[in-house]
Amino acid sequence: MKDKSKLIGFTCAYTPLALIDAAGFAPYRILPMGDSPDQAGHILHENLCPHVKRVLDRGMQDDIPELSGIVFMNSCDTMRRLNDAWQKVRPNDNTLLVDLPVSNDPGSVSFFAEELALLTDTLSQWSGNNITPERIENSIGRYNELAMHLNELKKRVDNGTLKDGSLRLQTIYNKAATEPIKDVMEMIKQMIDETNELSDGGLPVYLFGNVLPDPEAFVLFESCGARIVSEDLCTGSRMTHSIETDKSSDVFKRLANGLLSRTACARTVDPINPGKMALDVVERANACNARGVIGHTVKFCDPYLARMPSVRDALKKEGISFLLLEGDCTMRSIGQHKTRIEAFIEMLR
Amino acid sequence: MIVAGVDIGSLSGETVILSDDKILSYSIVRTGADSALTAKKATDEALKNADISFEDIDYTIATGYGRVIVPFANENITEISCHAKGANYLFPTVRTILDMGGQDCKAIRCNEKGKVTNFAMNDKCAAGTGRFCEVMADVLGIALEDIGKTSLEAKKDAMISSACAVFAKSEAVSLLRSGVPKSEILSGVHEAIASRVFALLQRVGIEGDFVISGGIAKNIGVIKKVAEKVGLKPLISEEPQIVGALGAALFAKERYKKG
Repeated sequence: MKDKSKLIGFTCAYTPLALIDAAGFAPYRILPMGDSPDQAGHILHENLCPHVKRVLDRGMQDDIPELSGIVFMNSCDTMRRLNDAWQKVRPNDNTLLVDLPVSNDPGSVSFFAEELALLTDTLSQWSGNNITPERIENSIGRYNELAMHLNELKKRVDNGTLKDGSLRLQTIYNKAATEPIKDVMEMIKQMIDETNELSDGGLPVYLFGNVLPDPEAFVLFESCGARIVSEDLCTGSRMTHSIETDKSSDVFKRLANGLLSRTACARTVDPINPGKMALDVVERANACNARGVIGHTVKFCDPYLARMPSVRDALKKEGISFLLLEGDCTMRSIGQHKTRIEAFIEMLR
Repeated sequence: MIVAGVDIGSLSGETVILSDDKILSYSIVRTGADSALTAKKATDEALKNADISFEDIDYTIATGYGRVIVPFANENITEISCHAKGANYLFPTVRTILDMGGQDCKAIRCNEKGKVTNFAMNDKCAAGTGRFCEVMADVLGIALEDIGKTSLEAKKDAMISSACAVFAKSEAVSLLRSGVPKSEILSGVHEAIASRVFALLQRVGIEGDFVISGGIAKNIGVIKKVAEKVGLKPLISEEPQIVGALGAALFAKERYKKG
């Protein structure tokens, strides 16, 4: 990064990146990657979400760039524990925990809009900049443009016309989460303009879940004979999404509505249709003509693990095979996962 | 046409040599630190038993955890597909297979052609595996091949509350020190293993006929407990350790024919 002091750390795909940008900061996602030694267990229970533990490991090891602050979203119990632990291991960091409603009904959207306004005040204090509505609108425009370009790139990968598509797409998602938006958009444009090159066979598979940022994981899928034709991961396509630009309505409400209405993490529920997630998985798998579905979740993620049986049942009704993988944000289980994925593909052939 | 299937697991390596549909020979060797060497040892022994040379083999398929480092294999296929294929050859009516190997345990469902339709594997856990039985045999000072028979002498099961191999070992040591007969401890251990694998089988659904393969199929104590829970009499081949290698050899035959 060119100017590390202008970074704001974040750890959840529900973070309103446009607000961070509007404050004059660049968002920097602390991805659960790298070689930091396992230390989080000194503070948190060992049987806890590996995503949170790996992020804390990086904080404890100082394996992150200099940050002006870090924004945590109150998305689950473990993310709250991360916020607590972070203050203990890095007491000098500016931190803020933003409350995140569990549904997207009008009351929840209004509440979240107020939370985003409070976040804006805090970011304004941290940066010393007055965050005007105009600045926010400009940032929303920039992030909408990023979402549009990423979506275009994703379409090419889904169609199988980009060489090493899913590996390169994940690399770009990681860059979009950690590097200046302008540089990333330039890279995406270059990739979109590359000539078509049909990827080698592979059985079409739909991938969904939560945290899977390591591009090597996508190499593994392809080496086992799977071709990821669409994905829904919080370190992937779920990270960016378009926000309405109708300036006649309140900007915070638009941001809140956009964040809460995009493809939901398992921690967010639709109170009218609690089983919606399973139906969404079936719908997306059918839409991309997937022969099978792989669910990937980090271990001990209760919101995801609790919903997997209903996802399995919904897919079974549709005659779509399902494989559940549980990871720990490292490639240490690669041997066991390889056997499962290969056997799944052999079963589908 | 002569083909070979080589199964390199965590505890043992097996090779099966087929001539058309007939098993010419097989071998079982202990897995060493070098999987490639284990594969060679197992195959050399099987070749010797069949009185043929390596050059006589037309096609080889490797399976098991060491499948990717068998240097002379033409292809590799997962042990899940191979166990289903091998079990189907031995018992054509099989629909559910429980493979209890050295390092992991797999519940497999297959169709009438021996093609996998669903499967589940135990996670990073030694419970229900050959390694678990080895550890228990060691703690109790009984030869591995005798633990099944010994457990049948028990009048009741000792309570082994943990399904974790590491904790179960500690529990077994405590029970031993408090004077609980070895047979009862082993019976309790086998009950814990059976509970664990029964849960795995329920994930894929159990439908007869039901086959148990892998080294633990030789442990009569575990088999009895699993049969009680499943409610079906398991079919067990004369040599349950070679089912994976046999399946690999059958795949080798198919692939060679296809060209």
